[in-house]
Amino acid sequence: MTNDKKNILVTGGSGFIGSHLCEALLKEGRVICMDNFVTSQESNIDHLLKNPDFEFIRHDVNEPIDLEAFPELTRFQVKFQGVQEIYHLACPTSPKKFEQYKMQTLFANSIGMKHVLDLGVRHTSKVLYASTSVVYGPRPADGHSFKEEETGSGDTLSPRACYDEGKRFGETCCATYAQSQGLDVRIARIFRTYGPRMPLYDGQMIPDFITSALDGNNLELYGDETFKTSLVYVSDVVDGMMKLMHAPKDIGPVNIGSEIDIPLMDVAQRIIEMTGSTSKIVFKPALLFMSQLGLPSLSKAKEKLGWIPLVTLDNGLKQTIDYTMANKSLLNLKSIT
Amino acid sequence: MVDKKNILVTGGAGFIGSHLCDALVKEAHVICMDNFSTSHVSNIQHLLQHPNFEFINHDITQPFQLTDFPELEQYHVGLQGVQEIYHLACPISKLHFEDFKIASILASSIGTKHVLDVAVASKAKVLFGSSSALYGSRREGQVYANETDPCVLDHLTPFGAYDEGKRFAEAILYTYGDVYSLDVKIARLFRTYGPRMKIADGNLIPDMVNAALDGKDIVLSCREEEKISLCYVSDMVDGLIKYMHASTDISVMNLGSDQEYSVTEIAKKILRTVESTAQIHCKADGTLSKEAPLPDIGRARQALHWLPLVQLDQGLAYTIQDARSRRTQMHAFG
Repeated sequence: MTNDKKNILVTGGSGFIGSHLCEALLKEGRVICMDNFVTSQESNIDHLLKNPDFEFIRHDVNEPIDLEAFPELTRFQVKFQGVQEIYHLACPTSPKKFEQYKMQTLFANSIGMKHVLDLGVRHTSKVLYASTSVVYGPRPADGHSFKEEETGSGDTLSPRACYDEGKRFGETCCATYAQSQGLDVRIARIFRTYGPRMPLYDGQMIPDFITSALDGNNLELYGDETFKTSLVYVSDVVDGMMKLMHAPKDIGPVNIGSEIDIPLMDVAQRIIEMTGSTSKIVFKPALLFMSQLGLPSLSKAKEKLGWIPLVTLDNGLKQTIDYTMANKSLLNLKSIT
Repeated sequence: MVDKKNILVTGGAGFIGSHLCDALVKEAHVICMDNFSTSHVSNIQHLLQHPNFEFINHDITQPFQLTDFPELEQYHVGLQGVQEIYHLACPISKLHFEDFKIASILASSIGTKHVLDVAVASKAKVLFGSSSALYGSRREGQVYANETDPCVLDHLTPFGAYDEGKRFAEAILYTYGDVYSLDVKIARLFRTYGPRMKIADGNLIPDMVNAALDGKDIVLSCREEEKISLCYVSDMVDGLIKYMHASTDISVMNLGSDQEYSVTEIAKKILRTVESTAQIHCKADGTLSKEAPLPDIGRARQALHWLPLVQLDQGLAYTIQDARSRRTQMHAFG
């Protein structure tokens, strides 16, 4: 085994975005995927388990992390080689089970964040934190796109605060460790993302639109016809995060998302067309954790990372539909058990 | 026999915490928890022999249960738990802010979690000492800050560790209230002054008092016309206790004074009180200070029938008197 590959830790690595990130990172390093399957699926990383450069460790980030204590990581020689990069994505994200995971949400962005940053200090790793567009607050009335220097206007005393304020606090932890410990931290503010491996029946809508369209069932939209959102395909997000990790340090938070605003109803309609379905769209009461989000200004991402999203909505939807069709029996089975 | 209430005060050896303990020991068992990271034992020395007072040296970023401490058996905490928790612990040093940043984010997050876990176990009411810092700096056209105003602040500045820490702690309180049906109260404290404030730590009032007592000129690092509001510590303590006793549905409350004075005016009052002929200098660097807006205390007036009562002249006189006696003691034992 050559020793020239980087060791990269991905927390939340078996989640929707995390698993795609692990896949892409295997091209440049050895990947330690950490997860405890709170809202993620083991099946997302099944295909990676045989890869000699991939190792999964089941661990809750809210417990202190000592990578040297995991015998399965011996072959990555963490003790001598350390960990060069850490992507911290771990945080429960489930619109349907939001209530159930409020405490874990608070802790992943504070206690878990601390454990990740301590690990970064110990190994002098670069740390990338997956933050979110919600730190800017809700979609602004004037429709302007969020620039990174905006301070945001979240409400600390709301049922969503465990997530919204948790993510803000996570960013502050990163900034504080950078200021006090000289740690190299990067903050990606990720906007609404879609693609294969999004959990089904969880209020995420797009994957459910697809299965419903394929099954000839109604497509249930949580909200009404005015619900608009931007959507960025997961491979673009992964690319943006990796570019941010490779960028010069101290550039501050960077928006990763799509600037194109689209009514969700149009997305549903497009899915019906693309699947040749006869399904109808019906409206359901909005979910607390599935809100219309604001739009990103991408000028910083363009300038500092040379990044823009490349996958068109049609292409992204097609790939998501293909994935769903290929895994449909498996996916449906999972929903029953 | 109806026993006395058990009350936990985290950060109880701090400036406000120690005054709160002074008031609470009159009618309850007070468990004062502190680790002296930015506070001092001298603040509670006079309470250590009090039968209603027990000091626990513990860092709240480490988990704890009341039954961990044998000295609390006298208050039957195993059976009775605690009824009220005032959670004030958070390291703060204006002058050595850098040194306490990480400790500050940990106290606000993990520390708050540990305190709330104790509250859940005891079904205690929790009052959290939040800060006017949440309202951000004074903005054009915004004189008063109301509890429902948006809290707009930049969480990535060098002060983010404190400011955002308090914000996140509020979110933790709210979430525990929501998930565990805990009675949580968030007091947003505005600038408070009085005896026992740390000297030479970047605190305006004690440093001015100290300079005046030394017969030195008072050097202000702000602009001459800058105005601040000041709430005397006994009023603050009174507000905190009234809020703790208030009905359950008031989740956030401003406490502070809505009267403002120019800093030079305050300095003049101090010089006059100590009968000093020294001068006041402003070494203004032109930068805008981070002064918070004035508190809108309508909610506290209405719901608690509270308002600050101690006049500035009186409060300053008490503060100067305390500083004098401490200086004498230091001199005697020095």
